[in-house]
Amino acid sequence: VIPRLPAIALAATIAWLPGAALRAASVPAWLKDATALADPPLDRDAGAIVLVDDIAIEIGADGRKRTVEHYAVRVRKPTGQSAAGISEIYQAGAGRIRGLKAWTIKPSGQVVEYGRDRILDLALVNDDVYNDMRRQVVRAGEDAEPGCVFGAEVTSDERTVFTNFEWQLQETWPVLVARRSIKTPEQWAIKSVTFNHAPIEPIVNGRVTQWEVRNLKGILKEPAMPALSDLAPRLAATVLPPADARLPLFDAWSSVSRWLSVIQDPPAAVTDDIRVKSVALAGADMTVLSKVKAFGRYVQNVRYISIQMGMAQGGGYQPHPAADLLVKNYGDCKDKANFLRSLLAAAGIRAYMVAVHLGDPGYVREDWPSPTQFNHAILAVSVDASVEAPAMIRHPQLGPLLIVDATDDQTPVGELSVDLQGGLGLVVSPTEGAIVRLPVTPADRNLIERRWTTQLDAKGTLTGSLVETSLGEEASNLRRYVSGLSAAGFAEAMERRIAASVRGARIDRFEPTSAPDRYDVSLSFTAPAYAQALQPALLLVQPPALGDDGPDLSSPTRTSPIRLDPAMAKERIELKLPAGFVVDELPATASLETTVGRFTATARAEGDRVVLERSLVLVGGLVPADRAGDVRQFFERVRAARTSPIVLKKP
Amino acid sequence: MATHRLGLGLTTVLGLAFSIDLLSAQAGKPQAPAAWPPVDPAELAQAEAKVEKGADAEALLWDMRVADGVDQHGVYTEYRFVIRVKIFTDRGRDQYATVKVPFSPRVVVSNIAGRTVRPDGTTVELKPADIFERTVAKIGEYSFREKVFVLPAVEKGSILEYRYTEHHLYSLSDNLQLFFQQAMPIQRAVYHIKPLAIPGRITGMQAQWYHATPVPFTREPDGYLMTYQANLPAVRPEPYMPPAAELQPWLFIYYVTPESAGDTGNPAAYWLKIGKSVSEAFKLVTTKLVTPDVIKAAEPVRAASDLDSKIAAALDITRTVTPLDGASPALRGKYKPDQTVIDALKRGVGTEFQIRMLFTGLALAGGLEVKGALAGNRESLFMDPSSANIAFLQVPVLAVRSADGGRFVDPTNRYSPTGGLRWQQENEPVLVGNDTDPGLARAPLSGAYLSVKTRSAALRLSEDGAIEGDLSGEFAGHFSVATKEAYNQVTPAEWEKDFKESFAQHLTGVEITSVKFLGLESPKQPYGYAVHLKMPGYAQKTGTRLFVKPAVFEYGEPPGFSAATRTNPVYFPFPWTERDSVTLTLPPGYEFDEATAPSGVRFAEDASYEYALAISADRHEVVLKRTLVVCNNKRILFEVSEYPGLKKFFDLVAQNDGFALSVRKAGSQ
Repeated sequence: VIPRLPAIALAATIAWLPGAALRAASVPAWLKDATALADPPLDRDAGAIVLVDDIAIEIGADGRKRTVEHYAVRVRKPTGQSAAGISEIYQAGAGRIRGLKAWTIKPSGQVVEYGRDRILDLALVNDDVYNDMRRQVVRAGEDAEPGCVFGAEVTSDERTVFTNFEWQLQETWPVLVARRSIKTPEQWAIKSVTFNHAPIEPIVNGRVTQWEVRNLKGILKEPAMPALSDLAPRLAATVLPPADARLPLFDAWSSVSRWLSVIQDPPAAVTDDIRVKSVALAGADMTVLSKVKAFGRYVQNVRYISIQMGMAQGGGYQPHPAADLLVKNYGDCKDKANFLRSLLAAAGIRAYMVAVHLGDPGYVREDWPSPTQFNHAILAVSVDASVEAPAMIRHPQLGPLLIVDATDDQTPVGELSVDLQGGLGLVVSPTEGAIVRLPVTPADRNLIERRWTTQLDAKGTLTGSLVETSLGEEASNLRRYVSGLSAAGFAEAMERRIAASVRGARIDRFEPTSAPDRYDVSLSFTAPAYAQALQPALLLVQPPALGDDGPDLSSPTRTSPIRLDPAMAKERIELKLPAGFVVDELPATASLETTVGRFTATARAEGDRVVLERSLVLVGGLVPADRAGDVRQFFERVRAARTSPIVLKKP
Repeated sequence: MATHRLGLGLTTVLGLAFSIDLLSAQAGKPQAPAAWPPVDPAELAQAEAKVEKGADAEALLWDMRVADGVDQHGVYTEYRFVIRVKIFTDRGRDQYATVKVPFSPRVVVSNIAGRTVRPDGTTVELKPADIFERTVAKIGEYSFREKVFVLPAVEKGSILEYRYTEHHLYSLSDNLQLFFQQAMPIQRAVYHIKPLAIPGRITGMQAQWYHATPVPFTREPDGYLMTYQANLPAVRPEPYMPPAAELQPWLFIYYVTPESAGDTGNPAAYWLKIGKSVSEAFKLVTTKLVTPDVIKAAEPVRAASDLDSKIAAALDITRTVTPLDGASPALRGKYKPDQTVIDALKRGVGTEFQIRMLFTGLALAGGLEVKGALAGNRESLFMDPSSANIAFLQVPVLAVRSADGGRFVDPTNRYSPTGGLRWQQENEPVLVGNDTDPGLARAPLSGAYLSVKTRSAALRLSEDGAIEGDLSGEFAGHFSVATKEAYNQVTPAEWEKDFKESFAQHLTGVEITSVKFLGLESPKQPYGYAVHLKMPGYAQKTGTRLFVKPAVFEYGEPPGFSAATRTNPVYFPFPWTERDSVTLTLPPGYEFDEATAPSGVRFAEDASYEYALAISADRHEVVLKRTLVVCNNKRILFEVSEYPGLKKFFDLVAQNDGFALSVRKAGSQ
């Protein structure tokens, strides 16, 4: 491409833009009032505090919405500079931001007003080939000296079929006042529900319903923390228009399911070409399960490409016709799930679209029927009761269902990614739609097993082989990682990984093998001068140890629960001693059993060899913050045991 | 294939709005769709990459036409691409079946077409409805957009092909680097070039080959001149490699004007001529520079006694002006495009040009001789004086002299205490504006003892293997400049977070507190830090011993070079030194075992490493002194054949840095 747009072009352009005008700007009264507030005592260690976060929506009889937002944040410390800014999402074509005004009021009283030349209009999602969703951003961090107040006032319009509203009332900063209000036409009703916080009761004043919450403590960003959406208070409201409003009514999951089935069933139509493809993919005497696996593998291999249009009208939930995918060989998650559904239907296998939330199993809440809780589409395939697989659920009405993610090409059909496990999904059907809980795979299904056979010579050179077998999520993770690498790149990455434990190791042979249910890596290596001579008659050997050291819990304080994924690792290391050397010291036997997990490590001398065996099981789940010390201690003891060396001596 | 423009093009020289009725402009207008060239069945059947075995995809053809023209808006360049790619793996499909063509406001992208040839020979055309245009970002009147399309029905064994046209307004293909290689291997990369002819203004175009076996140009019926390169491997990055222009084949094209005709054949005469031009241009911009206000401001410079102190005094004043690029919004608001150097001084903000001119004015008023100069930039290209083209010297600097001697000064190198050149200009040719001689000098390369990391630690070991204590570091020379420039790109909070994470990356579970930074915004004081560190499980335990590695700063760091083999030369940006001092005290009742410390290591005259341990008489404390010097004799480029030796040196350094001392309870065996 000529000439390539330099990556820094945008940043450089912004840097060269004229400065925001320092003027005797007309700061609105609400912002003056917010600025006049003394810095509240709430969470004084936080770098910034949100003083006002107020969103007011007015809905017209035709469903059009006008939103007015007032936002003010006080920066207390340099760490809070990033809070000085605002980001407003809109959908090009169906909505627009009518006005965005922003100011920074410095401690001296000086006001910086941000004009059009400081409003950045960006694509919301950069990876999508096309997406209607955009955002306008003002970043005022560089003006935000401690003590200043940043404020913004945004007015936007939107035309959408959705009458559901969900607000996360806090990012990470403490919040003094968060307020939401909705003004509806006469005869419209509103239901609301609160997540991650005590119920916020609405105050109804005529056609206006208002919710308000005060004094929310800040949320610290910590390693291995749950998603922010599982910690910050969330307010969800559903506006219920009258029957003649020509807007969908989402008053129950069954109505959400009905609405989705109306837009998702037609694209699944089986055409002649689909039927031909279905026959071509299915072997003559295949069982239902093997057909699902064969079709699933085929669709998972269809390229993931996201093109999102008409989001405000439900475009984000409407697949392209299955016949299109057959020709183009690309599509997004709903397209792929729909394509698989159509292929299965052609083979006489019934399947349902399932709406889920990827990445945060705790996101979807059963007590708020709304399609907007979902960001991903998968499939539930009717199978017979004899099928056993980690991704099976048994539904009282729909019977045994095999959950298949047609988008996740690294997770074999029959298994389910940990990013979905345990979350809620909506099985879409005009009459039988239902919320279901996705299955959770036990730790021993996500096994990684390593067998080292090594030999040390008197000069300290370590040679040997490693066979590593990964199952379940461990295999999926490895496939995901490898998918971005060439064969040579994988070998180089593996060499770096081995060398991180076996210093100076060079891989002589490397043979990876991916099977549907496992991933095997077999390699041999040489590490010159690996063992260290402590004295002429003493050798220090660090046994190999792969695997991670657990989350970084080095901070002395912890405020949020610790999220651990279920996993299991086994390691056996056989070390042949150099001639003339015997064991002087071996790593001590370790045995830990806590609610976090179990770990054992043994070492024994067997003739001219040392054999070490380690086993680690992580139970997975959320560990309360007040038990962070236990988790830290568990991983520290595991690490100490794994890195404990062997001392050899020449008698 | 990518292009990059060096220096000022002729668009600048000629102006943008001249109107000469030479060529009828067709560029940017829809073109009748051309038929796709037939697909060779052998290519369709090809199951393995030819250029690089195991490649995910291979370009069968990468073809670009470059044509300059003139229309009612002025000059333009039209680039027409035809690309044909064979896909061998799913990864190749995922990587190359989506095409993004970014473009800026003065570029029009048109005539996009594409199709996929399936392994069975059937074809699927790209539909116009499947070509999207998206605005990536927009601010005020500026917008950055891209055309995006996904080739349909791509699978392993497919051949995908597409074409498009970019019409660049107010552009000429002058001083253009045309690279042949890409991220994927290419069977045949072709350039067709159609220069513009403007009698009396442009008399021709010249081309120079670099790192390639030249293929003579062939004149084509439509007026293009064609050349190519074949069997080009994919570009693969390696750590510490020279810039692309020193490794890959490329073609440099530039226009010849009546004034520049004949320059290429006689570099000495060329540089003499350009030296005079630079001198004249510099005189022009400095003639009225020394105003009474500048003379008044230069009082401290005049008062200084020698060359270095005069330069230092001028820099002290100059550095009160913040560069516009990087200034706060408030300072940017004070800036006026037409401001004088004294205005810049009063307002505290100015362009790099104004900063350079302010220094020049102060130095001249302070009694120094100042000449304008242009230096190369070895981050992008190693400039060869036999390549007679001013485009290769991109960076303006100053040559400052007095009776004491002379040196090069870059007043915009804000964090060099002496105003020295950035590492990118060191060891590069510098053309000093001069009326009498070619004035082509070479900027000196600073030695390893200028860019130094000095670190120290005082740590106590606990019985459970934890260490705790204070660490500090000070960076000098290019390390200091680079660190401070990086700091300018982030917020203080981000800096501290990144700083802590840099420890956590190699010290698992480390707790860093009491962080202090020094000199981050000071031009004179080197960058420094001080922290308190606590790390559980630092020492390894057995039943009776603890094993502790004294080299705490290198703990957990991978060796300098991990790959067993090397494709490209090794290129270090500048020579450097690391000096570490670590004191480690044992818990009461423990003592160090006898130990033979690692010996020093050398790599010829180019690198040296010393590791010295001193255990106290009571065996309770050890002091490590570690020194690593790289590019000792100012050699910064190492051939591939030298890689094994260099790797061995860094492997030994890593091995010795990992040396562990054995610790026991006093009296135990």
